[in-house]
Amino acid sequence: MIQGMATLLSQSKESPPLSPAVFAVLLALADGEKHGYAIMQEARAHTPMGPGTLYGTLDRMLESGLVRETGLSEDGRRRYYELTAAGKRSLAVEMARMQHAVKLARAKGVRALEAKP
Amino acid sequence: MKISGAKFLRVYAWMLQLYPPRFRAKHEAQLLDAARLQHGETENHGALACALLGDTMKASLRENLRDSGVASTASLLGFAAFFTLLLFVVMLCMQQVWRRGADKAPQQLVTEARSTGVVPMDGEVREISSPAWVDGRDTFVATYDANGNVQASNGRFHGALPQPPRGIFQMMQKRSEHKVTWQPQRGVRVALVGQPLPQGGYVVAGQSLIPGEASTFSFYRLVLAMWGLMVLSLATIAVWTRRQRTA
Repeated sequence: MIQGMATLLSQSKESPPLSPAVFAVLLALADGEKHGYAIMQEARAHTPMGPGTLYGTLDRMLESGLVRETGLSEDGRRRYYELTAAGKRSLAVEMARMQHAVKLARAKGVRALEAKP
Repeated sequence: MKISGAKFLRVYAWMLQLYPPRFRAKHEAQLLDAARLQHGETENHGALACALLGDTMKASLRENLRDSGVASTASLLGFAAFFTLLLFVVMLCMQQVWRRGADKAPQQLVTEARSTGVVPMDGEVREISSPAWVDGRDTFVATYDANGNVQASNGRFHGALPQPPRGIFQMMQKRSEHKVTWQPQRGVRVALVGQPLPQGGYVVAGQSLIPGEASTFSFYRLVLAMWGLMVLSLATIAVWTRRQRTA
């Protein structure tokens, strides 16, 4: 487990950080297949995202093999996507990078702002 | 602000024309569906329209760049080479403009002397090696005999009448006018224009090249800054495009 984390951390140092849009899409798909609009709604919790940005990002993620298209609704209005193994790996590497950054920040005494009730 | 659904979608469908055909063919139905659902979920249609406009402008620019390959490495290198060549040509042209500009006043003087037979030599004596003359735009005139020996001048070089190399007079005889750069000492550069006189001998006039050269060097610095800015901009575009493609 610790060895696995160390591997992910070393990979995170080698690969560039994901853009906020890509990370938000990967995170939205982490719990399973979704259509574009559902991905956009969930991704908006992390980053501003319109439909053009979403489908452009999804196209590039398809090309780089992070997601795959699983189907099209009968009326053609919705395309469904899911994570590939490479997408899951990228998400895990990004998480390791973030955890490492949080650990470093805490060691320096940085504290997160309290969430407003 | 409220906008009817039909009107809202009609405008958004028109905005989708900004995307390249490949992207539009694949995602038009999904984009319109997303806009329809968002329209139904919000009360403030004005804010939604602004957000969709911003999204469309940004995303369509990115997709068009991606499709056209405008930012490919070869295109960027080609543009860099073209821009560098262009700046080089502009530099050469400007250098020539300034150099030839220094010939104008001396040329007028010698042409006037040749046509009237009277050398326009005022009584005021100019010291060519003095900083005031070197950094200014004043001219001097001198006459020379058929062998190129100085006879009279309102200019002095360290107190003596100015005597440029005699070889230039042979060229004046051949071409009926000769323009040359004379550097009698370091830091003193003179644009000389000479013509043979009808009564024999030659008339030569000169102006300092230093002010023009100072302008040329300032321009070179500006060109260098523009070139640096171009390299920086292209590097930024290359990095941005690469990120867009790999993201």
